[in-house]
Amino acid sequence: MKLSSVAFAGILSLFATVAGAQAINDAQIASIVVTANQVDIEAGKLAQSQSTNPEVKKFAQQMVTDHTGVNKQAVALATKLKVTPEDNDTSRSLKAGGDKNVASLKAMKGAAFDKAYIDHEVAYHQQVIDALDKTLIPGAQNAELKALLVKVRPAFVAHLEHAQHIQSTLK
Amino acid sequence: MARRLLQVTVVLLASTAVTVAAASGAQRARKPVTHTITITGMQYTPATLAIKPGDTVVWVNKDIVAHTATSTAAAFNSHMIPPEKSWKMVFKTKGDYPYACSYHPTMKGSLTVQ
Repeated sequence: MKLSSVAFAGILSLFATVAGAQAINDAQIASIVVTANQVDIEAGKLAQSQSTNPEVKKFAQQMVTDHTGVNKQAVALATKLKVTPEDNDTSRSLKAGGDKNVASLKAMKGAAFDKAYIDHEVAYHQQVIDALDKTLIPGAQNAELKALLVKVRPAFVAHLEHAQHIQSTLK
Repeated sequence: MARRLLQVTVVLLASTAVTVAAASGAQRARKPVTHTITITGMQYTPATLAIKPGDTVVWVNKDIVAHTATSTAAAFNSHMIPPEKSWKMVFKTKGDYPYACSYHPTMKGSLTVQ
């Protein structure tokens, strides 16, 4: 419970960093997108192996599949546009937050693990949608990059609803 | 001369009648139609569709992630449709066919064969 609220605060602060930045370039946006997906893939892989709840496992499998697919397209577009993803404060804190989440999840099992994982997934997807709306989509300069971000958004919304549904069934 | 004109008229009328008969015959044996359902933004568009027996439905995945069109009553299952791929099926039996994406439970669609 405490761990998940710490993780949630971490996510909030890292996106606050993005919002506070005056200008964000496409190379930084590419790095944020790739890192955000990567972080959720890592958490998903852990949940696939560590959870014993079939619904949670299935959700985790879907996160790995979908976010891998999104990243493939993001990398393909960055390559096509000759944009090299540029490390920045946001992508670095995303990575640090993701590592912290995985580390704390590794120490848990059973229902406590499922709850912490799903709570974090709800918070994570909510914050990514927020970042897409407030920072990433408005900030994207290249039209194709902007279009990709717009195309990705409904997947995050569906994931959020899926996670919230599971959350409501966990005690 | 008048007789000749009458003969031509009769022939013309007869051929018109044949054409009309052929046209109404074609209407009775309706040609099957192919309908397209586009998957974008984690939704089926159109989400509800009414078709006739013998029609084909093609699900085209224009979304960023893979989806399925899976009958909730096990009548059909596309299995995975990757992005930019499609899957089709001919529907012969009348009935209601609700379906969903087996990966994303928020995605629902409905097909009626009537």
